[in-house]
Amino acid sequence: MNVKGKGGIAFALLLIIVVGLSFSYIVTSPSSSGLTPTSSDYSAATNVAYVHIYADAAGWDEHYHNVNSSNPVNPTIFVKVDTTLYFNVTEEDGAPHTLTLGYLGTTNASANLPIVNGNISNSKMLGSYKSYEPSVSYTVLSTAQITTTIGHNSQGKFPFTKAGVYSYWCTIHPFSMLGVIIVGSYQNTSIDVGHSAPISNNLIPHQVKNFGNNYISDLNTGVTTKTANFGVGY
Amino acid sequence: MNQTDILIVVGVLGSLIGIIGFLIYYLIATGREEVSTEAEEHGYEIPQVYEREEMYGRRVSASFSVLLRNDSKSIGLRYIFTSILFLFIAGAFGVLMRVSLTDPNPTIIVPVIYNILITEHATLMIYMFAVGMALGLGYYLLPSYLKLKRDNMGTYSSFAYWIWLLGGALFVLSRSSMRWYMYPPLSLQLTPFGAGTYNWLAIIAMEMIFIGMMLASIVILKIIFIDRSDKISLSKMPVFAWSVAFTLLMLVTSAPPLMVGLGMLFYDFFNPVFFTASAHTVLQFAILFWFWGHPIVYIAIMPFFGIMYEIISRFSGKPVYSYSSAVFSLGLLMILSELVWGHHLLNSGLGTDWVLFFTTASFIVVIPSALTIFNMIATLWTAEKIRLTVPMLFVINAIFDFIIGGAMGVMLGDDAVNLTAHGTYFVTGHFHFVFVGLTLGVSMAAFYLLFPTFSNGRVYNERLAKWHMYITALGSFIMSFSWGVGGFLGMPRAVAGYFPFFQPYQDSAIVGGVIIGIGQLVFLYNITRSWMTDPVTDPSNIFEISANEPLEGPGLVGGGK
Repeated sequence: MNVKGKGGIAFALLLIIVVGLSFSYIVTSPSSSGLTPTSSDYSAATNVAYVHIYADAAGWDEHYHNVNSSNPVNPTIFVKVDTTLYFNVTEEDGAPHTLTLGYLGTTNASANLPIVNGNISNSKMLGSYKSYEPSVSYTVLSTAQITTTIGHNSQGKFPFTKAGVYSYWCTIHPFSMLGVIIVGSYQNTSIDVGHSAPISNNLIPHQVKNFGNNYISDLNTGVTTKTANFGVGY
Repeated sequence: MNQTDILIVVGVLGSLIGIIGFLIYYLIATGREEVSTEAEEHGYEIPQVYEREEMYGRRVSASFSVLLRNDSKSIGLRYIFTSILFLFIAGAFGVLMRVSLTDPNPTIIVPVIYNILITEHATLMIYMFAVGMALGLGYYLLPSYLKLKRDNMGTYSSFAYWIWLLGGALFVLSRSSMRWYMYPPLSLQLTPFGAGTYNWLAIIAMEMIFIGMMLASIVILKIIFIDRSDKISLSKMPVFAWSVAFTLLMLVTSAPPLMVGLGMLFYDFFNPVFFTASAHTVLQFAILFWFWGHPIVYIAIMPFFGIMYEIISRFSGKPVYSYSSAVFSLGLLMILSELVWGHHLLNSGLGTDWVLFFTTASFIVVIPSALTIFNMIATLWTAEKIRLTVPMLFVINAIFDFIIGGAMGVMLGDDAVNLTAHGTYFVTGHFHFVFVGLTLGVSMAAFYLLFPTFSNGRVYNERLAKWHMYITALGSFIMSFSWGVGGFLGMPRAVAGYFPFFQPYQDSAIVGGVIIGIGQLVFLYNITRSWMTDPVTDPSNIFEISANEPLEGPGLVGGGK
């Protein structure tokens, strides 16, 4: 069989092919997919909204070094359909973070969204999407963009053209840094956050909601005011 | 038809074709008819007698036809060459991980893929390379070392090999990122991206690997204890046979807890009752895992201790300095390895009593390890002349690396040090010193020694082989040592990024890792090139004595009696 000495070559070729195939198979694993926005999504999303969050391993903060318990950690963000949401993420603790979005599905109930240990537990509302890391996800800001420099600001944007519930989380701290973005057609103007003002005008009010308590925060002034049940009826 | 339907149809058809193909292969491989005809031609009436006297224990060189033969030596060749294949696959993943850490922030590959790479690297290296190499050398060498009376478990061995290989392939396909220890909250994720990348497939693949390993272990244990020649008493068995016997006894006694645990984990996908946070039972899986997880790392080194004894005897011209203490220390290592698994969980709240027990037991492991190493050094010490051939250089480097890695392991076994060093690159440095220096190095030494037999009398290029050895030793030392230093300063392991403070340690580890990779390419080139030359030497060597030769002589391979 090996008199002519082809066995070694055959094995080496087999080895190179198998190593190459497995290498390319693993390296091309889908790490982020499905939600990647197209240019038509951006042109459809005519409204503009703006959110400033602080990346901390303990959870997304809406204020720098959030020690006040009345300020929500992992705030729920309400966005009107067809809105391009600009994220301004500030590194707070020096650890690597990502800002990743996932589409969880459409809502069919007015139930709230309790999050326990990284899982959105209300299965009735979310259908089969029980996890914070759904099959459809998009990383808005990677660890390289957010960096580990404390105080570094990074900007990203995402056009929300489809109504429903989105999750936003950090792939490195998925159990603590996990919140929900609710995209809908709000009837009550007091909870509309989509504005057509340009992004250069930073004076865009933005609303955040904490479970159990409802708050509207103006991130530019830092003033948080408690409101009544603006989530109900949506 | 939508995409899912097409996939189902393709999957079912593919499975059917695979089953039919395997059936045909099985009919060819068992080949009973063929053997009877051949026996008749050689004047034997009973095929079994012909098999025993003419076929078993003969030299088998490497060729693709070993896939069609079911004798132990062919099975051994299958395991050895498949292990080398998986060494290169997992090694490529390892080098990519190193290269991706040139920047403190993950820029070259995203963290999700880094996690997949780390899982594949660890699992394939341990189950497909180290265990495969140990089983392969056992299958290949033991029939001639022990002059088998019969070799009638070929079908089981073949099945074990194929299910083991299929498990390894499915593990690659699973793209799982749950780490090699499969802790439940992470491994129970079922989403296609990120942490839960087809974990169900990975768990099935692990079970298949386990079934293959268990079957092969039982067959080899039968070879050692039941099928060996009546002339070879237990006290005259080579140290290598003892090391394989102890290793596989350890494997068959400690694998079942994790096999059961994996079954329970799989059930948890459908009905989470066993390892749930609400029932406070997540740690139970960790305990089931490490009850197996500690013995597996000894399984990856103990057969290679046996090979080291054989190689040292061969090239120093002396029998093993103390045969009885060599066997005793290997046996003690087997027993103690079942008692120290808790030192992987020192920081998980087992309680002070248990921590003290496991710390103490971990220190006691030093006794058999040191006995083994001093026995080897004593054999070298009493020799008049040591031939520094390539396998011998690998073995000397293995002794050197094992002492460093072992000392780091003893440090880690101490609870106080473990508090600061666990989860850092110090751990990675510890086991890479042992695995790259000892497991990889001694595998390569055995491969070089057996190369003339594998290739029908061809010789490898000794200059290139020495380059391979020196490059691997240098790269391994640079990489593991940088990890050791950086890890003791707190560099966390198994993450896709690091703090810029650790840049120098990571950079030097990257250099070391790439050097190791280049060394293995030299090996591949050397083997391929040497296989194309003409046969110039006798394919038999001390590692591949024929079953028909008498056991007399200087007693190099046998024990010290």
